[in-house]
Amino acid sequence: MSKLKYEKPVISKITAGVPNKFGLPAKQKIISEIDGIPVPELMEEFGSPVFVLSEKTIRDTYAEAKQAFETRYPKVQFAWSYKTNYLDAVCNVFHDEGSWAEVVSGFEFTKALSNGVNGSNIIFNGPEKSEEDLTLAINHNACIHIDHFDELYLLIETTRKLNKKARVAIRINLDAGIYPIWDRFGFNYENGEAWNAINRIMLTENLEMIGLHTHIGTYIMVASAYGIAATKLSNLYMAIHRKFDHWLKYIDLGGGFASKNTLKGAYMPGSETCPSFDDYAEAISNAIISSEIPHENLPVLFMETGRALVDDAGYLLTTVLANKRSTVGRRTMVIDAGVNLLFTSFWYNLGVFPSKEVSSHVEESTIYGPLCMNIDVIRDAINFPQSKVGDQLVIERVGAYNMTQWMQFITFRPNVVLIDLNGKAHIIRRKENLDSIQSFEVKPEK
Amino acid sequence: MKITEEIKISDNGFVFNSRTGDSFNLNPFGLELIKQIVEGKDFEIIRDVMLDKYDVDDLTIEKDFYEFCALLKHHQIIVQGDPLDFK
Amino acid sequence: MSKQKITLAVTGLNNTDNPGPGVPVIRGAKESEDFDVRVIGLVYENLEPGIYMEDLCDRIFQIPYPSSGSDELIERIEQIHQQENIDVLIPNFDAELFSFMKNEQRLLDKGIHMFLPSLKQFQERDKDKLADYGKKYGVKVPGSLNLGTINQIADLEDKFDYPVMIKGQFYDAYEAGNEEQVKQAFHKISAKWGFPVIAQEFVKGTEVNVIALGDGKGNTIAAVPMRKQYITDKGKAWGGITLADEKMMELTRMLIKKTKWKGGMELELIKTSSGEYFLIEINPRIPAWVYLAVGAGQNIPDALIKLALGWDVKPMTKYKIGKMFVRYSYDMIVDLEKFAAISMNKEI
Repeated sequence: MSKLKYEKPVISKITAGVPNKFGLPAKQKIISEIDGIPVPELMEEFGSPVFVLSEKTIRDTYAEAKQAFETRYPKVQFAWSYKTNYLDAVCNVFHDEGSWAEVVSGFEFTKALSNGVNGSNIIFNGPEKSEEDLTLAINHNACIHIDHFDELYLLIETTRKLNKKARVAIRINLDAGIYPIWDRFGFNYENGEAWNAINRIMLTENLEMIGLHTHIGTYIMVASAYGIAATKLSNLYMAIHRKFDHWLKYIDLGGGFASKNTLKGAYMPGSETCPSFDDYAEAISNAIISSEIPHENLPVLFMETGRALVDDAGYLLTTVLANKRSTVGRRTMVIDAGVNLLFTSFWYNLGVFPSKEVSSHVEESTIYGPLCMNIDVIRDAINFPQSKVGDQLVIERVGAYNMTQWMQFITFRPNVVLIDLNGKAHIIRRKENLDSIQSFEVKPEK
Repeated sequence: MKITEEIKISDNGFVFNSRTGDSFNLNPFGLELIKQIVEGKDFEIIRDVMLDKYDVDDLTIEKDFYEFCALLKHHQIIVQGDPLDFK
Repeated sequence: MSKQKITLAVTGLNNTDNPGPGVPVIRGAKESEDFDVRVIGLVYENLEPGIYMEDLCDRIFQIPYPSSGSDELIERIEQIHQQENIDVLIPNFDAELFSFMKNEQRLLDKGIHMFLPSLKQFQERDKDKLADYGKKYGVKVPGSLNLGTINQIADLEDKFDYPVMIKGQFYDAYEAGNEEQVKQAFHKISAKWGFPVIAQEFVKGTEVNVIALGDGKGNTIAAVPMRKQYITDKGKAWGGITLADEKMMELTRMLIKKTKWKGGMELELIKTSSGEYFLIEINPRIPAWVYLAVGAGQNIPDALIKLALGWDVKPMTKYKIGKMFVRYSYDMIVDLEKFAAISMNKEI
């Protein structure tokens, strides 16, 4: 006689009346494979934990965004936001799709150059640009987005030294109804600072003003805010034409589109409340097209969206290390991936899913990472089925920021794998080893 | 190990502790286990019954059994002695 | 004439000291002259009093909170629908409206009728957009300032005199009499409800409310104005009285006409001593004191069911003035079996 399937025995307290945040046990979603490759196979070959990126999802998401904008606006150019994920293999997928590079440091600038991006197709943002960085950017004819007056004057000085022209835009901060207003970056629109900066630039022989840039915030859930921002930039665009008889080349609306992750504290899941690319594109295109700008002089629209293009393409595969009960009887689980790999777990309720059919009995649980630190919590509260040591889990929507903001701590950072369009997995960043860490260390001579 | 007298267990897995006023639900395996504890069977016997019936190994049963008992103790469903009485 | 048999599903059976409108909605529906109503109670919690009230619901089902995902909620409703054949569904919680509005067509395709405002109508009445709303529709609203940082208190002081109301986007409101209190309220609210925190000019006067029903074409099908006579420490009416106030009625009809409001609503207004009305808030659903309107002659739940089913409903213009409601609490004696059944089986 064949034996029956076993399941862990559980007893849970019924909380009377108090809103049970989770309601009924829901049907448990399972992620058993990524682009056709079974999760156990990936972990067998590449270890645990391991980041897995889907090239197909990246390209599909890019195509969706591109279509949303190109069906509404005649001239659109995306620039890949390097800081979101600057692994060369990932950048190259975006460049292959036609993206320029958007960088915020000399390091990212040289990385973009090494990926074969033409210097004139690099947008150089951010508040940190040294004279050396500016020299590099001028020599490569990049689009330099000036952040503040000190940088403007440093740039003027640098162009004089080099006796070369620089192509510039300014970053503008403005009130688009988004709180808090990111007024720490760029020149303010409402108080006239941006207009002053523009006037100073237009009078400088060595600077060629080619665009206007804004970036209203991050994880913006209200598409209409982009409409307000686009309207304000369009006003400046026309003002420059009127005063200087000069048409700029582009308007850059930056990034900040939300991904489908759920922010901590949000009531509804992000997958339901986040605007679609169509919503964002509609708000932006409408604002520019219905502005005073004559149709034949419409600027190129630059978009630097990062998170929304790559978050969904990234997964972290991880293994259950232990199940525990806290002193108050709460179920806790330890997995082998910690917050040092998952920076976004600080602001998202990341989705964690089993990779195979599990018991139907779910219980509110806390998921801890493996670090010996109290802050290492991947999920405070998640309804999760009973699982055993060694069970393989999948954390979804981790493609943005985690692979650039991760920290090496007490052990090595894991392999990063990209599954190509043919369903073949490639390591695109090797797991670190003792040598990769120690090679930077120097012992003082005794 | 003894289930407190005030505990009522229904066949659908609903458990009511009339001394504390708390109620609980059991999954089917929890229900099966608690019924055997009520019958006064000790761990070795329960383990052998489960091993016979289910596709499971003895260490898993042992681990799950003691975790389950810890929960029963926590919820005051089984009588608890002094935890610092190191007998 | 024999009554038409329908199955009505209702949420919000939490008749506690911060009551949901489910129970009075069912009461109204049961008094309909045209329908013989079979009631399906939909509950989130196992202690919602409506579960235990005799002869209120024919069946009760527990449903998952919308926060666990609209799909789960809607799938559960569809599963209940397969057994029970729901004709009309009246959601009564603010938090669930978004999910139901988004899935209105999906449920209608299955034969479940609702009568809800559109997403646009729902969103343009958001608290942080009240100033725009007032301008767009020509209603007086208190001056307001959306606060993104504590540094804006200086702007606030330029704009308003103390006291001011400090409010969250979704819930919560504190009266603040000085800078220190504004800061406290700001931190409390921003931690809970995020940004912006809304600072509203304090308008002195009497709080009055209107319950109304719009047919989505601009017609006001029902409207009854009321003044709260006693307010609990949770800010809920414990007693109220219907008013004869043509100005409030005009304002309501004008708003419904201009916005083409669809569904039930509650307008919260402040009437100043000089007789001006300021709109404070619009609740996008039937309020918990709906039974006062029924008692005064306008059966709003009944009319809403008819609208949901596509009937032609004539506006009700009369109601009894000076009708009062007084809430009371009542201890029901119930058996553990019901509690066990809803907790274990998720249905009764």
